[in-house]
Amino acid sequence: MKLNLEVTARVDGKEVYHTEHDGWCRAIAAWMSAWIMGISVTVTNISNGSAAPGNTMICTGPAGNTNYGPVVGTGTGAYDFDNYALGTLIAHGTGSGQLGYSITTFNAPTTSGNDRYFEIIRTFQNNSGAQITVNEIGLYGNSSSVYFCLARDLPTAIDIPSGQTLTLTYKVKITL
Amino acid sequence: MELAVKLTCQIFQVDPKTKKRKRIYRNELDPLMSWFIDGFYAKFTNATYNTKDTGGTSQNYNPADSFYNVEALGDATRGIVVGTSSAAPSFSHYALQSTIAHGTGSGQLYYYEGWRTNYIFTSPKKRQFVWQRLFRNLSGADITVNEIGYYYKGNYILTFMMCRDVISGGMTFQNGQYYLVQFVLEIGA
Repeated sequence: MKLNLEVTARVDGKEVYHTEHDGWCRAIAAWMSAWIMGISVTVTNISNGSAAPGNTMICTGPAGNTNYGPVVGTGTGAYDFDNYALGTLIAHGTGSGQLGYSITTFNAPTTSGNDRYFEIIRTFQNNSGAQITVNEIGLYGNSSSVYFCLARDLPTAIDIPSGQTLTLTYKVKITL
Repeated sequence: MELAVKLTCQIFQVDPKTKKRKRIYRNELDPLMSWFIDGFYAKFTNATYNTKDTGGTSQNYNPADSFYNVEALGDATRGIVVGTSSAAPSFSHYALQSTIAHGTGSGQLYYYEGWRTNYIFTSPKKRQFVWQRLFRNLSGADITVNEIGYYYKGNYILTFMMCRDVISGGMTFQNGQYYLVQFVLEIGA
């Protein structure tokens, strides 16, 4: 059995990064414990506080919201299962060093051969007036308005020239 | 970085007097079924998603759903269940293909209560979930178990199959003997 979290990054439609083994973090396990076992587990939330995820974990981050859904940052610290947030989150906006976070969208579950998966998609528009380099990407979830880092990955540096758009696609997949 | 998510199915033969148990089966590449990814999707989108329950009926899986409680003695409709079919796992399977009923009659197994445990490990860093259930064969003859599943039941009173394992060649549950079946789900770095 494999439960993969794949991620693909595209800049203006051109694929610049892809990995099939993105890094789940401890919060995903804590949430799954609440969901499928009914056992509450306390972990660290993105604000560096202690909290136990409930059985909900929403990733439908709306436009402009950096608390949940796919997120990006500039930190370069190594991945660890205990990562509770991105190292340095890129803020939403059009100012220097900022990106415009779009609404998060989904592609519904589908079966393809021995795989079954769904996709989480978000775009980040660079209207800052200068190139921005993304060094880390993550997936944040919302559990009763407490936010958790479910996954974090360090792609090779992704340059987003001013005026261009980064699209992140997370694929949550199981394989027979 | 390598993602480590592993679902393992194990069977132990158990001696209730000495408390000793001997592992007689282990499969580290056990397949999750459609509901697992469908449930993930419902949770992540915070919207109901249509998926089949263990009765084959399409149901709207509610994102607010959570684990209900452990299966009771004699309940072969949820928790760890066993069957006789050797059909290969498929995402179209929503239930075991031929469930062995609870009881002491011919072809039946005695299902005890289930229980679950959750462990944290710091080296290597991982979290482990364990579902367990004890069975006894009081049917008067050996029974071959070919498939093992886990039926999840939430507080919305619907039951879904989370995983289904098919034992290559089957496993004989000898008459009179006790067997402990486990599913172990690990998530770690």
